[in-house]
Amino acid sequence: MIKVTLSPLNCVRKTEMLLRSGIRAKRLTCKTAFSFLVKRKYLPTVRSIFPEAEFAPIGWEAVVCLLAKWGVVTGLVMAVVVATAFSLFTTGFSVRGAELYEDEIRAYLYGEGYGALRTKSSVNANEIETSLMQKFPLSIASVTVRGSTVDVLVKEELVAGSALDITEKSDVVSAYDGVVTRLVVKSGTALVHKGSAVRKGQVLVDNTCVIGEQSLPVRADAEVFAKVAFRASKTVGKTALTYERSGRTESASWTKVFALENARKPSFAKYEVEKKLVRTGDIMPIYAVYATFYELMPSEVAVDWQGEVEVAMEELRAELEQRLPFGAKKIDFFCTNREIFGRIEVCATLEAEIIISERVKGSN
Amino acid sequence: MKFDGGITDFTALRAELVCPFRVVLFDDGGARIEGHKGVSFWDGNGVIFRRKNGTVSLVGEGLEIKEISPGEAYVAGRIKNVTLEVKSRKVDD
Repeated sequence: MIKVTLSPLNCVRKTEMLLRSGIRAKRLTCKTAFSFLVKRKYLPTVRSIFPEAEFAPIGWEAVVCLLAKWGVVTGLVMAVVVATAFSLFTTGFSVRGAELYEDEIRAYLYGEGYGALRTKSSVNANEIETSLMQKFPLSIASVTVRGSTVDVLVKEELVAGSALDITEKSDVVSAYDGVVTRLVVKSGTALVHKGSAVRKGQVLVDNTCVIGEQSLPVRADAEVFAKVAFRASKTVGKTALTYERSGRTESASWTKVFALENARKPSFAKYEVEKKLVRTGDIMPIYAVYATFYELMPSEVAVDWQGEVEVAMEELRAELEQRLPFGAKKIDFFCTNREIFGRIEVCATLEAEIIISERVKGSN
Repeated sequence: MKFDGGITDFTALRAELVCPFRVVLFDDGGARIEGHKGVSFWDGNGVIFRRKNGTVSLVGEGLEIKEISPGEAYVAGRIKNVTLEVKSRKVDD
């Protein structure tokens, strides 16, 4: 509703004007001012009749207008309230630096109530740090309050590794056949050099160290790289076996009721059959089956063996690449073909540089 | 049964006398005026409505027009007197 306020003169005449315009007015007063209430839909008409009138919304419309007018101020007040709330409370925590015990630390902090809303004054950083250090194997724990978050920075203790026994006597031997391309000897005496051809199991680095005239046993350690050839082969036929009708036939017939039938077989080892069904029963589904068997004889036909060889090469390449150990560096790939008893043997070779050294305990 | 028809039957008045204009009193605390043709006078002690063949005056204390629209009005306040004036017709002898 809209409250319309006018001067108190000629109230009767103004009321008449309202009635003539078909306006429904409420709460008419004519004391210090002539005022009345009208619905918003009558507002344009009232404006046209009384251009000098003052209009003021009342009820919920007044609330809406007030909010629209004071919306910015209300927003600012709300922002101040929210900012104040966030400056007084913590809403959660974050854990940084944890790896092995992150879940346990989070569970502990949730259990202590740091995952929910709580006042900053109730967050005792020193107490949290002490309890974390006592409960978990940590090197350091640092707790600070950043904004509305309890920031927990931890560093877990390193797990002590097993000590290396340098007095253990061991050789470095080759795990593959190949040609040494480079070697890095950390301890021991190298028995091969760049370009040496080595066999699988051959000692590459001995477990002795010669100092002057004295030979001391050591734990040999080295990385030996070698060019190793990985081989695989496949045979491809130049002809393919096909079966063709020889011309000999046999005939047979039997009865079939539903799915039951006593099917005859011919004397041929390989055959094709052509069947003809003739229904003999009017009520029951009884059929007479007339079969003709054709003998098949094998015969060889030439095929596109060159295409088959290319397919075989790609298959061999994929197979060899799967056999390469991790970190291998491919050098070359080539194939050779040879004919054996009318079939083509495809031999593929993939050369790669790999680490061939492996340590075994020495006996000498 | 319609209200107007019921009144006509009950009071044995003609329908055209009942329908055009009607004043309903709510004890002495207010009144509803139907079929008025406008307001001739209005203050806290009296309200005069025009009607087809005259006027109707409501006299009382603290009278307020609570709602008014063409043809219908509600008056609140202590009503002491309702006067119906009828325009006199000139009769040619």
